Amino acid sequence: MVESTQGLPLEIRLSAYLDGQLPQTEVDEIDAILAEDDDARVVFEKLKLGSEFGARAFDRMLQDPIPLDLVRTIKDVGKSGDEPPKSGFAAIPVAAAAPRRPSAFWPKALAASLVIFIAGGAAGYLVSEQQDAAEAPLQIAAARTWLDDIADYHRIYSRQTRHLVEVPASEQEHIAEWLSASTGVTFTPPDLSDKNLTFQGARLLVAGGKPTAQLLYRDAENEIFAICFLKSDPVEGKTALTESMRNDIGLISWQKGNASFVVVGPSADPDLERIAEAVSASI
Amino acid sequence: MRPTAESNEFRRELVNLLPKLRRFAMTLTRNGSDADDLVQEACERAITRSHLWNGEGRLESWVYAMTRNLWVDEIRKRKVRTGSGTVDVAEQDSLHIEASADKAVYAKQLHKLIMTMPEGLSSVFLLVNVEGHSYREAADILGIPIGTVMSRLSAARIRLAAMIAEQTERRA
Repeated sequence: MVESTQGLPLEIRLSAYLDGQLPQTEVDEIDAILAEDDDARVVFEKLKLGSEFGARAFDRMLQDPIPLDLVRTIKDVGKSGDEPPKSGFAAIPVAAAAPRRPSAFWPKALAASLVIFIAGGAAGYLVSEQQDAAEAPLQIAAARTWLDDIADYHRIYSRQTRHLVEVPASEQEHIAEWLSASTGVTFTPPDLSDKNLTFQGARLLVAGGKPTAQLLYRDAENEIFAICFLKSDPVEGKTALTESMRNDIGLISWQKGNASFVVVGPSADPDLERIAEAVSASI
Repeated sequence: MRPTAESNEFRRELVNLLPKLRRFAMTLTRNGSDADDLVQEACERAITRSHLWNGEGRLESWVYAMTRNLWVDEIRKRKVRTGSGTVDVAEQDSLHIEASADKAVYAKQLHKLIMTMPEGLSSVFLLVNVEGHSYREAADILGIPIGTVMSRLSAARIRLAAMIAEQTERRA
């Protein structure tokens, strides 16, 4: 819906013009003002600069970790047998994983900055900001790689019926030997029957560029859960469980010794955390 | 008791909304702890009232409006408790950034800088400039007139541009 800005200060009109929320007659009027008025152009460039700078800052806020209590609240509130929330933070950001689009703005912003800020420092600042912007997605990608891979695999394999696993559960002993040797992580497939999960078998994946074991389980409602692990930098003892999400897939991960583990399942399943607790205690 | 499929779907959508909801709450409270408490309360309320959600429009608009109302209630309670309380920046006219803003400017922590903006500006900026809500939607969520949305959005953009200029001068 377009809004009339007649009679309002110029910067408000230019801001609405930037949003495309002006009626055509006012668009024509603003076009004419911008063509003739240097001061108006400076204000307009400031508005654009502020717009992009703020958008980038807010985008980064989506990468903040989400407190686990908030996820628990949503999953547990209103159900019988509620347990009080526990403290803890999901160390891995749960923000939408969509990579930031390459911005066509910065060349324009740089030009605008030269108009607005004649001081030589402006260019230096903006260049360094560009570098920050270029570095940040790479760091995020590196931090998220193996869990992103796991989520992608889960999305595909959990829909398989006849070919859910490479090696069936009937060969449990072989699975333990094969995947221990392949990943360098010694383990025993956990028995999760008390969580109503039946072991289906296993696959060998590549996540984050490393061989990764995937143990697959099915519940009574045919939902698929997975335990995945790979060798990682050693930690002392065991880290806290941290939860993250990739759309409809929930992941609860932790590190123990020289391995990283994750339990994967439907993000809305309230039992996911309890399954992860059971796995972390037994694997 | 297992939740119904409908309830599960609603909860799933709410979980997916969490990062954005928390970001919106931060623009209201400008304090991480308050924001998390607010989001928790908003989620609880949304779930207990999910039968009222008609599925039309954007779920986030419904939850955002609920979150904003809860925060306004909380501000009122604090005013009663303390005799003064936090200034409800949604109602204040001043568009000036606080002097303490300088401390919050870090090249890799831009969101801290955003949090120094008055709530009235950052909430509008987030809804319209970042999340693409129309002026009308933003006005409905925040309970303010469209004209106020427009003036705050403009002021927010100018303020953000000024922040870049301040940074530039500091580095020069």
